[in-house]
Amino acid sequence: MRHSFKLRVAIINNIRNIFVNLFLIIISCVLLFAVLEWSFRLFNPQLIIPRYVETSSYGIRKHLNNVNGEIITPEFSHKIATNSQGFRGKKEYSITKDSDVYRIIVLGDSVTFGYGVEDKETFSAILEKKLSLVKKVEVINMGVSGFGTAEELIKLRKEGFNYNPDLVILGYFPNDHFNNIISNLFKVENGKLIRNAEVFAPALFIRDRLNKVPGYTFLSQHSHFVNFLRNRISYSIIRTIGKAHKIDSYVPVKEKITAKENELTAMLLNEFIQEGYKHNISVIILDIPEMINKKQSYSNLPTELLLLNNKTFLVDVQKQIFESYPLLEINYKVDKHLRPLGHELIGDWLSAFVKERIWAEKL
Amino acid sequence: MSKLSIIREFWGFLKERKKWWLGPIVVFLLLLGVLIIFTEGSALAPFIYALF
Repeated sequence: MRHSFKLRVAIINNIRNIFVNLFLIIISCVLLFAVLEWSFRLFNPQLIIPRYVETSSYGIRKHLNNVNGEIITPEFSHKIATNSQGFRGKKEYSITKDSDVYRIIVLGDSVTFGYGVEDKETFSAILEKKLSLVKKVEVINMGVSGFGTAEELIKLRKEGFNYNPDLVILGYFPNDHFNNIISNLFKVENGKLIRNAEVFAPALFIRDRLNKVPGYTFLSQHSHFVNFLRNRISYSIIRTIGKAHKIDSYVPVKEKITAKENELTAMLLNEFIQEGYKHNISVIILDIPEMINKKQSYSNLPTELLLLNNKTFLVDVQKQIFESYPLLEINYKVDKHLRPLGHELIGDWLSAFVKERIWAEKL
Repeated sequence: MSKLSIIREFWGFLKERKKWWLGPIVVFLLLLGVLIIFTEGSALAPFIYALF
């Protein structure tokens, strides 16, 4: 009797100890996280750029539908929204186009998508607003951050043409060279452009699993520590993919571009131009520069290899649009994406160009 | 002295003092250290984004 009483007390004590330890483990983990979070906020604030992307039915990334998020960096913060089709902004566009509507689709990467500016400040939104003063115009911003020309070409073919555009604008950015190689979606063989990998959606399986973890979405949008881990691991994966293709990470130096990179990018751009020609649609290629420092910008569009036709317009954004403005007024100093002024200038210029060149020629 | 002796010593300390709650902290900090070492120089650059 006395023995069993002692045994019961011992069991109860053991269970109590387990619970006390579990409680202490939880408390210590929370405290550790709080200390790390506080340290990162104080000494090493991170870029908080949530990735609202998923894999599309055609194997490349697309923005999630109906996003209502926020981007926070030390230089800027702004809201970010996508509509029910995953395009920037809340405005909805029907796939079938009314006969009196002039529709423009805009393809590109984060610069085109508008990292660094509000939904209404992207050059696509400004273009739509300006042209709508003249007639019914829809400008659909299909930009996806991290895209290269390869993904933009696939998006145009698989999704863009479904919207029956009258004009296509392509935002070319210097890191497209790098993205075209690492995506492995196309390759050049015997002077011909060949579709290679069917799918390029790096690490999205990690994102899909993480998003199922309760609280991860909140932490990825607010925690500097979680973003430190996310950014580090992501860049490490990108570097590994780059090394597999025998190229370093992206650096804005023309001499570092290999002949293979240049040829692939030029052929992808030529394919883009051809698509416009085949569909009897004008194509504007915006050669958007990257700011290197406050006095120097960089561009690497392989102009000499492009097969232009009378439906294609090449725009040197630095020379034709930004020339008279200091680079730091156009770009964020550290992040280097375009500031609202950069988007406004492009939007204004495009609006005048569409009215004076493209519409005038059709009359 | 073996390089692993500190781990053994720490394990002995946890057992003796029954401070099991210290375990996850140390494991977590070790993993963080390993991650920083293996992703050295991988600070996110402009125009290179988190993948997930």
